[in-house]
Amino acid sequence: MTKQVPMRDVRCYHCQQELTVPAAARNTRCPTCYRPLNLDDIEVRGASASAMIMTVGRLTIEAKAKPLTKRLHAGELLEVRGHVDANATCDGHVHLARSARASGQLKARSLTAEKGATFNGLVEIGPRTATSD
Amino acid sequence: MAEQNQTNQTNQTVIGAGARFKGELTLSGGALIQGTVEGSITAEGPGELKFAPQSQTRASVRAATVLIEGQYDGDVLATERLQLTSSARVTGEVVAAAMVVAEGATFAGKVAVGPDAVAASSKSAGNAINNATNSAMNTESHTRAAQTAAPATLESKPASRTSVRLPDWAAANGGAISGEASANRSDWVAQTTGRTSQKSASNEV
Repeated sequence: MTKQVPMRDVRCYHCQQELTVPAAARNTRCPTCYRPLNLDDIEVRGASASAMIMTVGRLTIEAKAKPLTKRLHAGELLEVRGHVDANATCDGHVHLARSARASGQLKARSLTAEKGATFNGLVEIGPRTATSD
Repeated sequence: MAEQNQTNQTNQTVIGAGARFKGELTLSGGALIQGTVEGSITAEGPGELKFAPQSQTRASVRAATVLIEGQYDGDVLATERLQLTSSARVTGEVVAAAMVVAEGATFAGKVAVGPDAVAASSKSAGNAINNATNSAMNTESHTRAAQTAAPATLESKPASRTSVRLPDWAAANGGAISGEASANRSDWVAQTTGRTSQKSASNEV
C-alpha cells in the first residue's frame, strides 16, 4: 500500500504555467521554462536588500520590516504590515494591515486595506491582472 | 418585494433602475443608485452610498461609505470605507480611509488609502466635484468643440525651433565668417572674455 503524498497546484511566476507539486516541497523548477521556483512561505522581518522577493506561496512583510526590494510576488497571499515601496503582484489576495505603509504598483486578484493603512500608487484588480511581468 | 422595501427604508434616496440622472446630486445620508448617473454625487453624513449591480455611473463621488456593485467610471472619495463587490467594474481615481476589493471585481486606477490621503483630498474635493459636474453637463459641447478645434490646433502649431542669437560680428555677414568678420570676432572675444587671445597678442608684438 503506497502512501498518498499531498499535492498542491501552483503557478510559475515566470511563465504563468500551472503545475502540481508536493505540498511539502520547498522549491522546484518549472517544467515549461526551466526556471527555479520558490514554493516556501516567506516572512520579511528586517531590511531585506534583495532585488526581488518572489514565491508561489504566501509573502508577509512584518510590521517593522522595511525591505528595499522593488519587486514582490506572492502566489497565494501578500500581507503587508510594514513599509513597502515596490512593484507588487499577487495571484491571490493582498491584505494591507493597519500598520502598513505601502506605495508603488499593485496587481492582484482582490485587495483589503484596513483602516489606518496607507497606500499610494496604481492598482489593478481583476482575475487576469495578477500576473508577473 | 420585501427586500426592495427594506432597501428603500434603509437608503433614503433611490435612483431607480430605469432612471437616468445627469448633474450634481447632494444627499443627506445614504442612497441607492440602480440607474445611470453622470455628474457628481456628494453624500453628507454617515450614510452608505450604494451602487447596485445594474447601475452605470460616470461621476465623481464623495461619501463616508461607498459600496460599488456595478459599473463605475470616475473618482471616489470615501472618508470611511470603500467596498467593491465581485460584480464591480471600476476605473478611476480612488481615495479612501479603508478599502476592500472582493475577488471577481475589476479595478484599474490610482489609489490613495489612509487618513492622510483623505484629509489631503477633502480640501480639493470641492473643486474636483465642481469640475466633474461641469464636464458632465458640457460633455457634448466639449466633444463638438474638440472635434472642430483639433485640426485647427494641429495646423496652427508652429514647428519647434531653437532660436540662436548671433553676435554682431557674425550677424553683420549673415552668419558667414569673412576676413573682416574674423577681425570683428577677435574684438568680440576680447570684449566678452576680458582678455586677448595669444595669437592676437603675438601679432601686436
